[in-house]
Amino acid sequence: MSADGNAHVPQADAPDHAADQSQQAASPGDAGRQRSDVPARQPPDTRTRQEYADAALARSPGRAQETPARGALAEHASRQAERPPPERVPGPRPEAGKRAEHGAEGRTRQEYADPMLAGPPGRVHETAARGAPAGQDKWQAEQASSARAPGPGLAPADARGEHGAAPSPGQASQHAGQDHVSGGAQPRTEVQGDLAGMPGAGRAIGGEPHPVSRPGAGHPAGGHAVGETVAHAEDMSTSRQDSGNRQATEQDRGDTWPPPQADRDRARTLYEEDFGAKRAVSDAQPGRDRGTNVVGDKPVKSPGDTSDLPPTGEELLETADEDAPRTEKVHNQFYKSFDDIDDAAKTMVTSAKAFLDQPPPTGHPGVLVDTQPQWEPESAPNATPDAGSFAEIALVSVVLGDRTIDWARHKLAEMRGRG
Amino acid sequence: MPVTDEQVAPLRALLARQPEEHDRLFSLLDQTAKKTSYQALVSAAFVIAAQRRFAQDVSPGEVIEFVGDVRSRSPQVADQVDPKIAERVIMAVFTGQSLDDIDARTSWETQSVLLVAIIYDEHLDDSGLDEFLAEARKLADQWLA
Repeated sequence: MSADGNAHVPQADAPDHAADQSQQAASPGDAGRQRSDVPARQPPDTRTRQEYADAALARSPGRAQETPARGALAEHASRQAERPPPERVPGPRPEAGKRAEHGAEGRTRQEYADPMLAGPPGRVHETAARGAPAGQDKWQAEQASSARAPGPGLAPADARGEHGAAPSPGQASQHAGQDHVSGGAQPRTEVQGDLAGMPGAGRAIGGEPHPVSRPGAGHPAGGHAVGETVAHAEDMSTSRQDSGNRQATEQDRGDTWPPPQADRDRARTLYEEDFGAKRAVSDAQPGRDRGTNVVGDKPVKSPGDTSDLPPTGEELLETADEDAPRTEKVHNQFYKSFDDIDDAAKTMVTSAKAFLDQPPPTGHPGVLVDTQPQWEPESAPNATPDAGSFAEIALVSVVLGDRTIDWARHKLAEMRGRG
Repeated sequence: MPVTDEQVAPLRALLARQPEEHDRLFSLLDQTAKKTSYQALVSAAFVIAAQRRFAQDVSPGEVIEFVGDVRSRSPQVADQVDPKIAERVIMAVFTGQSLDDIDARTSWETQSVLLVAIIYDEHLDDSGLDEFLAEARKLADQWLA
């Protein structure tokens, strides 16, 4: 649900811009919950926002555990309602009011990002931690823990025990802002250090919870993806670490921040071994020796698979043995000695003489049959007329003469009639 | 005991359409040679001729048609050749079917008649006939070895 959806809350009927701002200041998830709790026909001008928030909290006892954060949001919302509407800044607005409350409204977004981008990766966290007060840290810790919960490979107890305590405001901010790349184990911290060096990651980690980049703010899918990446990195790195070393690193991370430069260098080295160019080169060259397939290449074949090779000597001998019994079988089938061979030979000769006396029939002679009609050849023009032609000519002449005479008589009769 | 030229000569004369010469040469053979080498040679020649005449995956219909054609050429041949035995003998060349239930002399006579029919149909010349007999002789030698 986006912040624009708050405009459809029943309170949007009143032309109260401050109320709109206060709703934008709340997180999207909170806005949705508030909208579902608000009665539809309640007039907006009869109750203040504080009263409304108190009533909503009183109606939902299940939210009692969220009271600290809710109370801060409600108080912040009421103050925003009383305050004149600030100048709108393009971009997502849910965090604008929060920044104003913490005294960062005097800095533009670019001014805020410049020191983060200018400093080393480790400095980004420090800058964000020092600039973020405790209230924001709590809110971010809550959002981050909610986003981390569905992530794979992370126990809820570990998440609560590590981030719920929030020993100091700075540490709380670090844990909350880095939550999408951090975890409970030591290798996660190593990966976090490298990811923090990326510009995009620095913006997301540095305490400016962008709705898109922040995994817990209405984008659980993003939280899952980052969680899986962290889990994978954790698995790859954990396989190289023994348990004692891991415990020592966890203790160091809990006590000092930022980690020593040696640890960060070692983490960077491990990351490059797992995901960097060294890993790519090592996978491409000795991949087949290690039993892994290279994309596009022929799969590794079992050494015992000789299906594409010519038959061995033993196989040829087996094939020869298969043929030998067949010859022996043919011998046993067709050659059986008998005594009266002379009489049998006479039968053979008699049959041969019969074949010679009566040659095999060759069949009927072939007859060509035309598959198309044939035109009868016309008589030559200078052919001599026969009697039939004379009779035909005489008959035609008689008929024509008779018809001519009849026509002439008819004409004469008409002329006499007119005269 | 390998097949000798004297044992091949009568068969060659018969397949060269000289039955009288066959009778003369055949009478020159001793009885042992007739019962062993000549019988084996004729049977081996029939196997080679059948393998030339039919394909390895010959169908029973082709064999039936051929046997009917052979028997229709002469009333004497029709009386001498049992069609079922003739078909089984030909099919046995390719399938290895057992012929144990057929009398040895009847089987041999049927093979000899079919051999003459196949070779007469091929109209082999002298070289072709020699080549054919050489192959048959080789197979007979294997059988007699």
